[in-house]
Amino acid sequence: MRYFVVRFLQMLFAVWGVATLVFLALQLSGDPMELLAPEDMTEAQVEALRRAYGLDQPLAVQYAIYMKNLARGDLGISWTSGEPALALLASRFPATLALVTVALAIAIVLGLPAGILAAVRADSWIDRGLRFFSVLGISAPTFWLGIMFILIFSVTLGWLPSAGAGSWKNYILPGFTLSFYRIALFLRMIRSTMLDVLSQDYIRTARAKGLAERIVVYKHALRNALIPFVTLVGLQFGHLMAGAVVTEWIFAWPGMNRLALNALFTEDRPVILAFVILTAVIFAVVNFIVDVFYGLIDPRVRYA
Amino acid sequence: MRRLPWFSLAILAIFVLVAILAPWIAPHDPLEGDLMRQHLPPAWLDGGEAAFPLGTDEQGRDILSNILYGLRVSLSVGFLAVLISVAIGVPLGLFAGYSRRFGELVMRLVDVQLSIPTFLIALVVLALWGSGLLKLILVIGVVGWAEYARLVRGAVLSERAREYVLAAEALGMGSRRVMFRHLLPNVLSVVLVQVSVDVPRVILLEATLSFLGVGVSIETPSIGLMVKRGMDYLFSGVWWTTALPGLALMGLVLTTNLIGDWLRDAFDPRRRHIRR
Repeated sequence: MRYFVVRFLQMLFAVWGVATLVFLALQLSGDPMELLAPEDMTEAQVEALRRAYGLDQPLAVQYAIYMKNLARGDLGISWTSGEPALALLASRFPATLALVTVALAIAIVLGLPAGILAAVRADSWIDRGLRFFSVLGISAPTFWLGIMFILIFSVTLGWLPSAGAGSWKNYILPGFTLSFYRIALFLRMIRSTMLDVLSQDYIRTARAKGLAERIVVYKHALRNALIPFVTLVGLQFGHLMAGAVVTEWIFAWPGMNRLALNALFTEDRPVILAFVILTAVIFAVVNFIVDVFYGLIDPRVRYA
Repeated sequence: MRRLPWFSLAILAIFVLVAILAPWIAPHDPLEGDLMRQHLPPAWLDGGEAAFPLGTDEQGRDILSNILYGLRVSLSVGFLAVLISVAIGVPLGLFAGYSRRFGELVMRLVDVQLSIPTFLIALVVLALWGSGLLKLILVIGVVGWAEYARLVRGAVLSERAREYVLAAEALGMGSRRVMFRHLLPNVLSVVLVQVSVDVPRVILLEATLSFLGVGVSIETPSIGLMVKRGMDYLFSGVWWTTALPGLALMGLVLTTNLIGDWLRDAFDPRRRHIRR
């Protein structure tokens, strides 16, 4: 129990730290009035605007107000649209979640069996081929891959749409673009943990007992290899939710990553801030769940 | 020791050599354009010219020369940024492994740093503070410290319990001397493996940031920027301005990843039984 409480406090501390860092970073990037105030505004009007946004207060007061609002889930109002930043992100959240889920599903369905196959047939030509593919997969730049997919499947063959969301066809290109790296990552990871597990003594015992190789591999070895795999999938989920920026941009996907990128280009600070903090929260929650999961199935972790 | 990956090392050497020699071997000035020869296809296609082996972009600039200069940027960012991460993270990790209280503090900071993706931090910071080659190297380098601090601290904690450290301490050596003379060499393999993972990652990061327009400035030849510009002409059938630079980048990253894999297998004792 103590382990879970400590992990929970560490999670809160990490989110607080991120929030503070973002607050400081934004202070360093110049006077927001240069962006907010139209050119022809008088001095008095600028001051009024500054007061309206609470930017005339001392920094410490601004920080206190910011933290208080944060604790209530109020992340400010977008400077460009006038809507609450969090609501804006929330309206785009489902599109990103759907894309990320599809990408992770593709990566698991292809990466997991390929990894098992490579481990069971270690050093065969199948293993060599899969290993080469996996290094290729982690070496291909995602932005380039997406563009190549468009070039091949949209421009040349005309099979799939290159932009937008709506039909299931829209998921295929961005889904594979996002999952390509993860297929390779999962393959590598499953292969090496399976090889690790397969060389353990209890596997030798199981084989010596005369168990069928299928049962040894799938029941004894795979179960143990799946524990770190679940962790990796969890972490990749966090990474993808905030790492789909490039893919959403290339394919004009109406998700929150594209919204955040636009906010960056227009220096819409409340939206940027809300996005970074939301990402930190997603990360922290995923990490916490993974740790709790780990602690539950492996008691050794709790005392480490 | 497993056989050295000669093939990958040779290819990497060629990449490095080509990048260093770019000003002398590039057939054209990478920034010099001529609107009379825009979008020339590669030389082996109809309408291509031998003077521009890989074709030209929308302003008539030579693709091959831009790739050569772009690789120069990729490699310098890759190595310099990782060097900065190592320079910050390794000493912090050493001290953190030695002093319990300082260690706790560092680990909490590591937690904060690792709770947002590096990519996102670099993207936000560069977008708000303005971009450029030096800022890019600095930001990516500083943001990367946490992984090194964490790894080195872990390695120090396990090494500290070993007898040779106890012996050095029993002989009355100061903790700083023990740290740098005795512990550092023993945790270097961990650092080396992490460097080999980081260099290709950082090379891709630079290209991605430049592709999004927050990386190097537009006067700098960069693979990411080339692909970004080429994207506007995809539907007019111009494929060489995006496909070829990306292919070159992938070749470089692939090579460094292969060398990294070898290093990891060679230095990680837990993996020793895996290779045959």
